[in-house]
Amino acid sequence: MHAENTPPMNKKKGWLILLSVFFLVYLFGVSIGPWLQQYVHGMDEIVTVMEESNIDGGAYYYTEIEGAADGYAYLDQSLQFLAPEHYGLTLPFLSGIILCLLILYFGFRCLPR
Amino acid sequence: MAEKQGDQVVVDVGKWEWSEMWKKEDWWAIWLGFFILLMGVIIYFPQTGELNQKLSAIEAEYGAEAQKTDQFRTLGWHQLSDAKKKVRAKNNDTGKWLSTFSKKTHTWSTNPVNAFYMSEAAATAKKENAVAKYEPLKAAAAEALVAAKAAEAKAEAAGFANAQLNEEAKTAIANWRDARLKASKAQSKTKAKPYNQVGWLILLGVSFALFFGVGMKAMGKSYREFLIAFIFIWAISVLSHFAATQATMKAYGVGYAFWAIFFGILISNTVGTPKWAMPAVQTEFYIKTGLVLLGASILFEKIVTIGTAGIFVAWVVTPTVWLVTYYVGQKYIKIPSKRLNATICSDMSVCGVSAAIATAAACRAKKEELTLSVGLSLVFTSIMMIVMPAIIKTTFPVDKQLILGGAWMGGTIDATGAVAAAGAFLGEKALYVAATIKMIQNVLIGVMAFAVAIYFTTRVEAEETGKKVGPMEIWYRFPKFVIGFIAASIIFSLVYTSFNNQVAGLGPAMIDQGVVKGMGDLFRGWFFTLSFVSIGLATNFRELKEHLVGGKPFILYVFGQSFNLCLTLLVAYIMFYVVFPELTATI
Repeated sequence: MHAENTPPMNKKKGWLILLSVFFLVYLFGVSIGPWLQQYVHGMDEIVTVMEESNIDGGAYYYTEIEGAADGYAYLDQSLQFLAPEHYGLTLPFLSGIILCLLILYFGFRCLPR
Repeated sequence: MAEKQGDQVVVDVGKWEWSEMWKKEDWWAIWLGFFILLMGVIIYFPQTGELNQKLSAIEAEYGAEAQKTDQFRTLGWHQLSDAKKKVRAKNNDTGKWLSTFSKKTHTWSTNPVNAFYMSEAAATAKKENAVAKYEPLKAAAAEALVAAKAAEAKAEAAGFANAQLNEEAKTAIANWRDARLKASKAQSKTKAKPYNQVGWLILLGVSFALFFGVGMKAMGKSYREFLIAFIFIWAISVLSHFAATQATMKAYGVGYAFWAIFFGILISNTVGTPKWAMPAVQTEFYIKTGLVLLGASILFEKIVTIGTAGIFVAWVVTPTVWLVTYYVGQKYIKIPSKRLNATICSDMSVCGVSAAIATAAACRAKKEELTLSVGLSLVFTSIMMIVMPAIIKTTFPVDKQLILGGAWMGGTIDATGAVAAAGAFLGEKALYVAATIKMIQNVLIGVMAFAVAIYFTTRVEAEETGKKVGPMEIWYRFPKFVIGFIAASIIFSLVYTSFNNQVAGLGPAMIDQGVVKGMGDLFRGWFFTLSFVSIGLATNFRELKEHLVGGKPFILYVFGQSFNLCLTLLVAYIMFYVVFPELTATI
């Protein structure tokens, strides 16, 4: 009944560990975590900001964060209106992309065998 | 391939048959991923004309006001930006239904029931409480708007030539933005509604089982066995989101990927993964389908958002850090597995979990190698999210905290959520800069995954097998789902740009706030959860421990991240304050 390569464990012990860990996770979430928060410098403030701004600290990608869409709109419009000469595929901008591709091309070729 | 099947995130064999296109999961991931994206196109694209008109009307109303001076951002400038943001393809009825259908568990703090259910009475009480907080903030925002209008009118009357009046208008508008931001945050909490997520989660689970079951059947697996097994995987996936949406876990930045792996490993190493659940432990299938959906959100036009300074911070520093860290990992730290080395490098230098997933799949890393990388990223992300804003606040000059600090955090903290939290802690501008730099790094995932796939196919695997790699061999061994991943990125990047060429803002409204957020993203997170649960259920502690011997992965991560911190700060300073100070002044 076990996955491949999984060491067998006494059934009773297995369930005991499983349920204990579930309980500890729950305890951390509702009690230990919030208590610990106040002793980590700056944590309380960050948590308040996250709650107020509805930010999910566990988000993994820019589309999961509203701030990324707002930031995109703000910065894109700022650059277009206030510094149009820097907006779009300018020569310095393209040089950045070319540099990136050159770094990757030569970098991967120089990696040790 | 030397590795046995089931050991790796991605497995490929060195030969090609046309039947692979309907028998192999790489191709099924592409078909299923594109099926979802096509559904998004069918649902949202018919609104193009309507949204085009809306945006044109907004341009006509606020465009001239927005550009009447280049001395400061006028009220019209902000109103133009705010109005455009509200135009979203996903706001139609089908989009709203899809959002409810695919919703994860709700945020809860002490009562677990709140993750799935909220009564009418509880929602009303929550709403009343939020409305009471919102009303004074709304009044303050209205008052600030009146003051801002008056200050701007005074500056305009002087032809925007009086520096003092311009400064007063700028301050009054900034005060209005702050008041408006506070009011809008409070307003979002007044929309509390009763919910019962249980039925929706069951419906979603059944839909996913049927969706992936089609592919499994086509690949010659038992449809019935898969459906039964999927119940188990689905239950753990829901449990993972249940843990990730707990308020404290969210505050600590512990997301669903961690919980999915954690619960999977915990179960497989205590009571054991039931044999009947194994047919649904399909890590590769779920991960590849999720990656094809991720490809659609890699939009190349996004990289111009913050100009040349941003591209240097995100696209020049990142590959440099990746390559140097990989080199040091192989040459000096002597990480035994090149795949683990590559996955940690992407995880640490590009953008955490999403980059680790793409790289692990592209280089065919082992499951436990991806697990280890995700674990390392999680630990350091939680620490950096708290420590970096504190360092910036105490050591950076005040005038450089928001932009330099934001760029530094955006370029170095792995997870986007943590970047946003740390940025918001410093201020709105820091949040915007940090999140945008991270977004540009996110776009680099496609380039890095492609480069890694080519490198491992042509160099690493050639050395491992001792065979010379010709063009056909490259094709045989190349992970085919990467084609779908890159194709989705290219297709949607082109469509995005063509929409923006019609009217500014149509690309974000139709793609970002349509096909991506209204379709692909709704399911991508779930697919990654299913793959992480599968990884956990097929991993045991002994295998994981083997990689931890000598603490080499930890040393590699610490070295790479330290180098990343130094180089990002240096390049951000040079680009934002030495080379392009006039660009920085516009932010």
